[in-house]
Amino acid sequence: MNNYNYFNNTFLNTDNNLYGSYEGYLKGNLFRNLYEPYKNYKVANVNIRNEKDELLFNLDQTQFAMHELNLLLDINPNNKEALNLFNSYKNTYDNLLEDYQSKYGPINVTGSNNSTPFNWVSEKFPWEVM
Amino acid sequence: MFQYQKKLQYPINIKKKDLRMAKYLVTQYGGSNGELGAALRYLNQRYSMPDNRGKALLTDIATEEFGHIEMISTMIYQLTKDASIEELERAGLGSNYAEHNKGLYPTDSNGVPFTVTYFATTGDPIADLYEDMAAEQKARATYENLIDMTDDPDIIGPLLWLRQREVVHFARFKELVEIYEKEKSGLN
Repeated sequence: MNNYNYFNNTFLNTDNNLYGSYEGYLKGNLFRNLYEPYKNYKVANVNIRNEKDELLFNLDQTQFAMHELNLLLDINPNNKEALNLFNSYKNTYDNLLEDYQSKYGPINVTGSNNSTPFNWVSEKFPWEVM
Repeated sequence: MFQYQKKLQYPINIKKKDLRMAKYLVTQYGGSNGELGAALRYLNQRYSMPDNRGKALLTDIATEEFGHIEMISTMIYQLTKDASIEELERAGLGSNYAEHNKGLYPTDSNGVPFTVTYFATTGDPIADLYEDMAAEQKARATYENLIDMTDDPDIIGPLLWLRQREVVHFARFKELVEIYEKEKSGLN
């Protein structure tokens, strides 16, 4: 196993270089220095109609931020600042996932409850228009 | 191993049937620069990466690409689900119906089926990572072509988002290949 003594100068300096999870998720990019808009297109909004949509949106944006930091950590495993932020998003994600699954049904099969029919099956699949 | 999460990475709710766009969009499913090729390319290249940074990055980006396959498939499904046979024929999808009915099938916009020749693996990490960077740029360009061809905001939103993911993946692959090149030349 390498000890990865190569330390990339990716200093996050969180306030300046990263979007928050909300803005980063809508843009599809958590990193200000990497963001490339296309022509004059504005970032799309996600349509939130109810409490379920809102909870899913919060879960999605938190998972997205976590995933972006995951990719960064893959190649910069010694970046403590990225790791701290990853862990902070992970805590939020764990709570939101539990909250969502208890209210609206499983996202992971392990989140299914004890009801019949098996609610992993009975809840809608995500390609259906919601 | 892999486990499914019963949600999309980014929401898709297309309200308007559009067979013309479905016919074009399918290329990001089964075309040479599509998401299926990307997912399999990265998953397959992991085994010859020289260290865990490469194995981790290819694993995690490949896994994300499976979510993008699902997003593109969802778009095609929603754009075509209410179409009649006559409408499919008028949109040039009659031969597609003859072969596959309404079943999804990975092809490019011309109906050419997906093939593994779309992804190269040399076993050389630097050559493979440059291939991956090129693949991300080609996918970005294809998303831009597709965005240029529609004015439906329900289609444009997810395409802009997917396009941006190509930008991020390109940057990560580039960062990794630069690390490997430095190490190879003994600069580190």
